[in-house]
Amino acid sequence: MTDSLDIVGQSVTRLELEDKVLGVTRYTADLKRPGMLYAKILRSPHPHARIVAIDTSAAEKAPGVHAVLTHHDVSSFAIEGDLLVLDARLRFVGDEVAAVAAESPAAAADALELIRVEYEPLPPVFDCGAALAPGAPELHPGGNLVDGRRLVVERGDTEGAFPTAFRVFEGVFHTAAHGPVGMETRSALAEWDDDRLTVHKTSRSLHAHDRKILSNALGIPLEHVRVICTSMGGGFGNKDEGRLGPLAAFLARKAGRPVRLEYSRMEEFIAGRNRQAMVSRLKIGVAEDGAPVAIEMRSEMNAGAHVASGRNVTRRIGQGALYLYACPNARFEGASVYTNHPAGGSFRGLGAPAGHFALEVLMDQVAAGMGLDPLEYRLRFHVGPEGQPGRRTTPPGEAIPDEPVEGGVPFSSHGLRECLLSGAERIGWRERRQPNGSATGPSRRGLGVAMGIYKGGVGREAQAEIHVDRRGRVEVRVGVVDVGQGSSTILAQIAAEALQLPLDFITMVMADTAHTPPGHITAGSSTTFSSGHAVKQAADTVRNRLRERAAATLGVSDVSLSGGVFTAQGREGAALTFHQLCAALPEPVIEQVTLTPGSTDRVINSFSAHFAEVEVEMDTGRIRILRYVAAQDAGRIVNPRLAEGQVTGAVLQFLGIALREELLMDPTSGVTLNPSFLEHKNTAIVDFPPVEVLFASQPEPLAPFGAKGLGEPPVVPVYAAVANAVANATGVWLHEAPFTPKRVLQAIAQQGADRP
Amino acid sequence: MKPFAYHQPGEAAEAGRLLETHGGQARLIAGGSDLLGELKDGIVHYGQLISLSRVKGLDQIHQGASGLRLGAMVILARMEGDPLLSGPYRMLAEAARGVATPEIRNQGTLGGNLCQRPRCLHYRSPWVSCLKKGGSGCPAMESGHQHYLSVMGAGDCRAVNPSDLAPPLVALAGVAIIDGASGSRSLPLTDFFAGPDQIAGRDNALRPGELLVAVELPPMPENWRGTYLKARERTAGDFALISAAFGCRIEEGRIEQARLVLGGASAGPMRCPEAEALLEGQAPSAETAARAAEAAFADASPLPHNGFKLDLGRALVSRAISQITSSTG
Repeated sequence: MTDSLDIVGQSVTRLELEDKVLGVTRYTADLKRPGMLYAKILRSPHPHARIVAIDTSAAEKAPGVHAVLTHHDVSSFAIEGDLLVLDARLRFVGDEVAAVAAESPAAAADALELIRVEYEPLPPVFDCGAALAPGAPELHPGGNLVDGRRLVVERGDTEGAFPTAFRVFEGVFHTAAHGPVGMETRSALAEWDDDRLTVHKTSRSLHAHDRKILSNALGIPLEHVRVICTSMGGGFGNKDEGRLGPLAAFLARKAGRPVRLEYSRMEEFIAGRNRQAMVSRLKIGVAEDGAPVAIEMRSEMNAGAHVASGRNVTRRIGQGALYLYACPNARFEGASVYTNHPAGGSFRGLGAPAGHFALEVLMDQVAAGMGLDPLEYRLRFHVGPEGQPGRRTTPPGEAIPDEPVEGGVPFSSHGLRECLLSGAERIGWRERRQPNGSATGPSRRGLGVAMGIYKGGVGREAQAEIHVDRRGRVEVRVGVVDVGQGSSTILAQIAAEALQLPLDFITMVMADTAHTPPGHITAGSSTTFSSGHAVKQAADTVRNRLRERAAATLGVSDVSLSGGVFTAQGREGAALTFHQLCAALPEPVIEQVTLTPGSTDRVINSFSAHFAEVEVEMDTGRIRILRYVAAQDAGRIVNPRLAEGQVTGAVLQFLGIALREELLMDPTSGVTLNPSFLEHKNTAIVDFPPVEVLFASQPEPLAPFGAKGLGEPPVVPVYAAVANAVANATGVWLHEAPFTPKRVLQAIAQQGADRP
Repeated sequence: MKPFAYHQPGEAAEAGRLLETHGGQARLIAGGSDLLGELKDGIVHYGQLISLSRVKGLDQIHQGASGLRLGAMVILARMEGDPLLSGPYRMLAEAARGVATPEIRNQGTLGGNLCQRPRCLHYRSPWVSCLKKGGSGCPAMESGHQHYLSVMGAGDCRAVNPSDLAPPLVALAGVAIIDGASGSRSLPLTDFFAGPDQIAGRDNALRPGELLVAVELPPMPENWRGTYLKARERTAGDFALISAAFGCRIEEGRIEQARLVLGGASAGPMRCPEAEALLEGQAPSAETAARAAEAAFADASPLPHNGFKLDLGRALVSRAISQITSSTG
């Protein structure tokens, strides 16, 4: 690896910043086409029902209406295993019944009211226990337990180990459903040119999902589908692959005109993909010195009507329990359960924040029970660079999973300890933290710590192309979507560094299936690591080819490249600018790379250690975050300002989720009662603390320029850091989130404010 | 949103006549910050909207011999900074400043604030039927989400008036000035709002064809001071879970003319005569404040899932009393 880096490590201004600040950036819902129609969706008033009959004749005749779509008009292609384009079976209040395209949004909305639907209401089921009980109404063939089984992963033998434990600690932890609320609502614009389809769409996966789904659903060849998402107003892993694109495309085909479908905020809350409620039962057995000897977590996620990527969400609840503390025996059992709640799906961190909430709060209870300071406890027992005890189970030569279970595999880089120490120093843990917080009085202050472990970004097949033409234009083509996190800037920095060219020589081409090689989904904090790898490798090759050509042109054996100028080695004064060299190219230089980065003998993960200082009003249950320090190990930081923004945004987002945000479901009707910013309590700026961000210093040896994933890891410890600070302040353990005044007062009433 | 006819009468009496003519189909619109949301969300529908924007003289704040008169069309942003809202009336400016967001305060009016509809989540959901919307049952009673419901009273509908201005106006002994097709009348604000055992269909005492045109406040002693505190889940852009307006004067170290009004506790703003009596003539202390707070909620009848509002309410009352009695006199 290069020791002196010019562009990687610099806080260059993000590429699209000026356009965004000036309001020039056009998001999907800003796009218009001549003759474009506006689509609206008729949504189910029932939590569970079957469409017996549907009469669209009046709607079709309504003024300005050009197409009405029902389940009779679409293919029977399953977008996902359990999701059709439209379905005669409705599974939540707000489920898609029919769609209308008309000349104005108002005309479309009026036409919805003219659609006559005869529903046969079916018995609904809303909670996991009831959904799994014998005789429960089945939402999908095969029952309500997704895949018909609980996922079980285990290292060692927990059953054998618990009886040997000195003490066993247990707790049940709940997290609520909430809306991810990207500022841009879901939107798609579909237009046909003969049998060729172009769809602009809010997306995180044009190549890997949307294009394939559209091709299959509409019955046209993949090459006839172009999907574009050049600007996204908030991704957070949540702009899913559901019905949006196919509905717009079917309507446009039926109407013979371009159609744009844009969700309202209410629809976004009800029919977007939410983070669903989870419950985890956690059991930790420790030895006499406090060392964990067995950790067992059993979790359930209320997946709602469709599971989408929910299996992965559930799996990741368990990763902290399996891997954050050195422990020979660990077991995770997870169930995803269908109910008549709105569908869940992916969202930043998947199940990890909920799982770490349980793990890190119960670990504080362990430390308290064993008479150890929570920071000291973690410093002593966190998983070390050598990894978990036990034996490797991945066959030799195969890639080590990014959510490992096995022991015997060391980490490739490991900055957890550094994060704990630097964060503790910054917040003043050793000087300022008292065992009982500020102890007495109506307002009490306390400090809390929590750690996090998360995927480092490996495991996705990534592709990149670099084109250098005779005008000296350098195009870096990558199929992934910059969902707003700044990956176009990061990949441009990686390309410029590897090419040894100034950043403004680089043109990024992303998120358009017509002009990019296949790209992976923007998920799992993988873009910097995986696509970055592909970009770097392509750029390394291009750089070497250009240098060879420059050396040949200059008639020397080697050249150096700096600032866009090739300088001959060993021949004073001989130089060639990059543009001179390009002008003489016989043909464009093109390099295409496909790879799946990772390691066959190392775990590559990102780490966090977060510290919160809170004040709790004992009489009102109000929690105020006074200060927050987030220390992250993401290897080398490609762009410190963007990285700091990632971490600050992550922490603020999850402070809101931990303290206030919750989708309130009516228990009898299944209605989402608060689908608005007013009543889904997204935090206002006055309630946010300053966030101090620290980064560990160790580059990841196997990553492009040493950079690991950072998009999701900083959300992981937030619930627990706050809950542990509250416990330090009040002596009360919070096991149920969000920590609203109601829940805090209930916890105080139940556990007693034993300090006067 | 469904179509509606839009009227802009020039006189209050004409507005009243239009209301009478169109009955249940008609609704007054002032700033519209609540009504338009309801119409757009499909919670209510009115075929006739009667705007008050052209009715003259409703947007004045006027100091006369009989006290202070606040027109129903005065916007909240003006109340935040009006010089007449000082001294005893400063609590009104304080309450106005705490409403929603600057955008809403530039649009929302005093009359609209007092006549706004409840925040009950079930009332606000277009997907569920409820008593207040003319339905036959109350789904909120079966739900765990009762934080916007009352903790007092026994009516079939436990929705509350969410106004932040109502509790301080009641504490200041405000009088509702009502005009309409059949002439004008006045009514103490305590009688204007629905009581604890409300009928779901009625938020206030306005009769068909009537409108609220002003609130009059009788003169208050120069050294009377009040404050308005509310508990919310977030500090800005949020409705109160429960609130307390408290005011008094301190004469020779004793509390006089104590007024305590709760918001969000009962269907409308609720005066607490027992707590007031308990404070009258007492030397201020934390214990006195705590006893008054206990007394204010002595008759509480919380629902299964909103008992926590009693804790919040007691804390607010204690704080409001301590704040005023320590800064006054």
